[in-house]
Amino acid sequence: MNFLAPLYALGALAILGPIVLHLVRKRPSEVLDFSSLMFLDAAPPKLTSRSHIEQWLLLACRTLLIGSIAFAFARPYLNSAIQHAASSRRGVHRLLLIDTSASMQRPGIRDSVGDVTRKWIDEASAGDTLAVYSFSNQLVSHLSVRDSLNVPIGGRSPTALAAVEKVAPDWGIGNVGQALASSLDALQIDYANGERNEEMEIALVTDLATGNSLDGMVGIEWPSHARLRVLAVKPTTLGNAYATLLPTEQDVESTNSDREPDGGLVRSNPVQQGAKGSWRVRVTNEAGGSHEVFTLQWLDAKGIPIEGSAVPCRVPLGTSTVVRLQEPPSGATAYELFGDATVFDNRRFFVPPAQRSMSVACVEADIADPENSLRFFAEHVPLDEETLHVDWLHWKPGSPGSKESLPSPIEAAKIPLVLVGHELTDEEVVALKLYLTSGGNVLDVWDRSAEETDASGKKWGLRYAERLQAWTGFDAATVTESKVDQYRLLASVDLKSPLFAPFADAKFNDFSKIRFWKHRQVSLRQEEPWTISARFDSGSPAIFSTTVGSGTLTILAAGWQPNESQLALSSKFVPMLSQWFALALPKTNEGVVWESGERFDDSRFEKMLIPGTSIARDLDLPQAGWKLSVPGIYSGTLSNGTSQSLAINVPLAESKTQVIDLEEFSRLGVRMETAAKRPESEQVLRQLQATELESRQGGWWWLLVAALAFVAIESLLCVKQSLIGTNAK
Amino acid sequence: MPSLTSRAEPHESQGTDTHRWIDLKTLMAIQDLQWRAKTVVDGFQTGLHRSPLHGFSVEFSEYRPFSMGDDPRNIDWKLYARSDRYYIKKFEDETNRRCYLVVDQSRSMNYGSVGYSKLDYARTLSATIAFQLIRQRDAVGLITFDAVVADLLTARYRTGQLKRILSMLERPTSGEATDLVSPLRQVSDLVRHRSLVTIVSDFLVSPEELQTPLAFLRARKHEVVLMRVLDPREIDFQHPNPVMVRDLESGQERFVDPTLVRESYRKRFEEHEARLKAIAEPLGIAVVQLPTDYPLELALHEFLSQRERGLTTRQAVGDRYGTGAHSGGTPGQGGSRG
Repeated sequence: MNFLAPLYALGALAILGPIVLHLVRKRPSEVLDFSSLMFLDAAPPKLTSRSHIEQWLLLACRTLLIGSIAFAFARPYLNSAIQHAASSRRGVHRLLLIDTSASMQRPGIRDSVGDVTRKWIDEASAGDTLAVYSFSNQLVSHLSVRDSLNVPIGGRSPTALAAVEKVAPDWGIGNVGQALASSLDALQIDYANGERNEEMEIALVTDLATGNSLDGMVGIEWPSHARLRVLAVKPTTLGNAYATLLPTEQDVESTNSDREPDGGLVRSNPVQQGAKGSWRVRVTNEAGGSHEVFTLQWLDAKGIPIEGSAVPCRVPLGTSTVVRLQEPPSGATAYELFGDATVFDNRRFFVPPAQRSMSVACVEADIADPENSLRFFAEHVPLDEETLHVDWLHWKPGSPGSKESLPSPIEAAKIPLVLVGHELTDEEVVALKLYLTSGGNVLDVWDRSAEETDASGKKWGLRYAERLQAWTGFDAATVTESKVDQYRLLASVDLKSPLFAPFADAKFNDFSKIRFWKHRQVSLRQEEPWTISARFDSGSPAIFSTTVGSGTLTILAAGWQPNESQLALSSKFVPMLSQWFALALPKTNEGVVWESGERFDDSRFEKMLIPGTSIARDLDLPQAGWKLSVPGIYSGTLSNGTSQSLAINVPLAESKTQVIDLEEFSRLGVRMETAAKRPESEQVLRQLQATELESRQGGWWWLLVAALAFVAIESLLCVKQSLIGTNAK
Repeated sequence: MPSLTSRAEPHESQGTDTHRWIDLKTLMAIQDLQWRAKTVVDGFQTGLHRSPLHGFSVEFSEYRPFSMGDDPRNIDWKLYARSDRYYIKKFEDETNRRCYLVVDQSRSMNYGSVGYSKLDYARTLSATIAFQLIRQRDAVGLITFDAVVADLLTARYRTGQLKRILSMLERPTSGEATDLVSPLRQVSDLVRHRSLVTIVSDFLVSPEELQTPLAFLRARKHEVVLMRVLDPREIDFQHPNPVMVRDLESGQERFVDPTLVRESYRKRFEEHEARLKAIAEPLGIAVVQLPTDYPLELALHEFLSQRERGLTTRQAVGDRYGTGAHSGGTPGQGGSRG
């Protein structure tokens, strides 16, 4: 037998009252008027010995009466039925989803995670399944739903606890939305064979930092039988300050033009662009902290602050300030924000940019009038950058063995772009074919009329078509001279193409001032392999390109010289040629800032030295890439034997540690668990079942009936005693 | 009444067979106080033949030869006619004695366990004494008191004095707490002529408080008799069961188990009685303890005999207080009547 409210049973102690009262000699009701009390001492009632209890039956009635009432209030029930009910109860599919993003590295959070997870696991019923997942950039399974199903009942909680012990925060960026969506998939897929409407619960253990992205939940329909329970954890230190390197004003303009071929922004590289002069660093101090005075300082490769580089700054809570740092001293690999209590994101790494040297070659015969040559305008285009020096090479066609002849082979790594005029020998075509195949880029400018003939009497149009076929292997195209009454304009400019992407803004996409006095009309047999970036208004392709091996071949069907067009004289020429060169430059990760947790998929790397260790990991990159787990400077070895360093930093989003409003989850349709809907713990469920069982058994009711019966018996006994006393008097 | 033996010592020789005396319950049932008093006094007179005391009336005492200086009005001329000699006829005290009955009417006097209260007994006793004294042509006065003097009737011998006394005794009383000190002081102020002051009370106060007022009375040459009226239960505290006892005067209640407190009660009561006697006797004051079941005839007898003893002891006491010469046993001012 159990009791719903066992404390009420203590009321049974009240039976001591009647026992004591029965032992106490009754206070006489008779009052004797007496002349004086001056000779009388008070003789208070005293306890008689036990044997002097005279009304045993009455005492029994009274004690039973009090005992019945006390036990009725204690709500007794038989618990055998409850055990049966508990064993027959169906379990809930529970999934523990632990945030392991970088912001969870904050002090105190790990202990808090341990506490809340243990509590959550303890609340689970024996029949519940317990799966354990973690997430930062991606969802990681520690104890899958299916594995949890295979664990026998009774062993699930220990197994889940063991899985939780293995979960540790990493340095990735938290993607809550994606993790929730993946968790739902895991739950629903693994229960596909069972009942679809089985109760599911996802417990999200997170610090709810605003850096967590909820975008992954957009468009996800949250199932009605699943609910989310957020187990928020808090660090011991509140607030956070972080420093981010800003691009210079000049960089801001150039960033707009840095677009990848697919239209996305090129990875921001403030380090490279801020290498010269002062560096601008934005220091942000989030609200809720306790510090407002910070110091920015450069660190060397060993993480030791470099003396003389400290810059103090004061940032009020909830604001940000831009601080200018001097150019990093030699040997500096990071800068750190000192004075912030939350230190996980205070150090940010960078790789000092290395100076590179490249060359651009122009294959063109000498021309009497230099203004009508390709080189005249091209060589005036500034291709140099802060860390890149560009030399112009002039190769003369048809001069084998001379200094100005085409080298063989042409190193694509050092000469990323070759401009080709109208004249080329067959050998040079072959050499350039090899160059293209090895990754070189050729810009073939057809700057001579197709109707004109070369020294052998062959029309240039035919020559263009032949070398086009030689380089690409496509069906021969027909190149003829277009009939131009006055001029032709560029039409159908593909602003999405890499070449014209910098002109995508309406302010720059006016090409109507570039007039072509003459141009070549090309009829491509197969247009599919070609990417036509622009056409003349006659419909003939003007700029079209294709890949040849690892390289790219681009054709300009007219010359940019003034006798051909106004292209070289237009404002579009310099950015177009710069873009051709930029597209031709070999991809490099030097100076690029990566974020920890990202996937690294540069196949040129063969080995990578993990920071803080001496482990040089062989990079056998899978399709998904290799995870950059720890912030720091990674030293990689490329396949050509050269080494290159990568700076991996804590994701900037993780530095934003303000707490997300839980309403955000509700807005995305997530069924949040409320207090009313919270699944009861085993103990609470038992209590509820006990309540139900007790109300069904109604033991308290019978006890109250017994109490009433005892009241009646007691009353009868009292009346009887009273009558006896009266008769005796 | 075995319980009275120790207190009724003066008349032990007369026996304690209450059947020979008037039934008190029957007597108390008589509403008319005068009738009660008359019944007692008549019964008392009837029983005098058994009394060892003789003569309470004014009667002839002796003859003596006339001598110079005697008042010729006292010459017994009849005897001169027979014997042709001058004789002076001397009688017992013919002058009216003044007696003040001081009756306690406090609340404690309302207690009674024998069918009537101590106050009933005290009133009847006072009426009886007054009846007897007036019949002896003595001047009788009455003072009733509780905490203070309530009523005063100056001692006189005149027609209707008895009725006034009886009506005053029959007057219902409010009854407050007993305070003997203040009333006795008032009595000593009010009664200026030397008198017999008979205080009828239960004397349930501290005896030490009475010493000064009693001495004051005696200093005024009053003859004082303390008639202590007690209920039999007050003497032995006989009660069968534990009981809540309520003080009639203060209303205070106290739980009492008689079996536990009886001995201590008796001890304290006897101690109180001894202290009262210890204070009264050196002053020449008699203390007569009268249980309410004690026959009134015997009580009257106690009064009269105490009066007689008081007259005999007054000389010694008067000497102590410097009054012996004045209150000496001159025939005209007292002396034994027996």
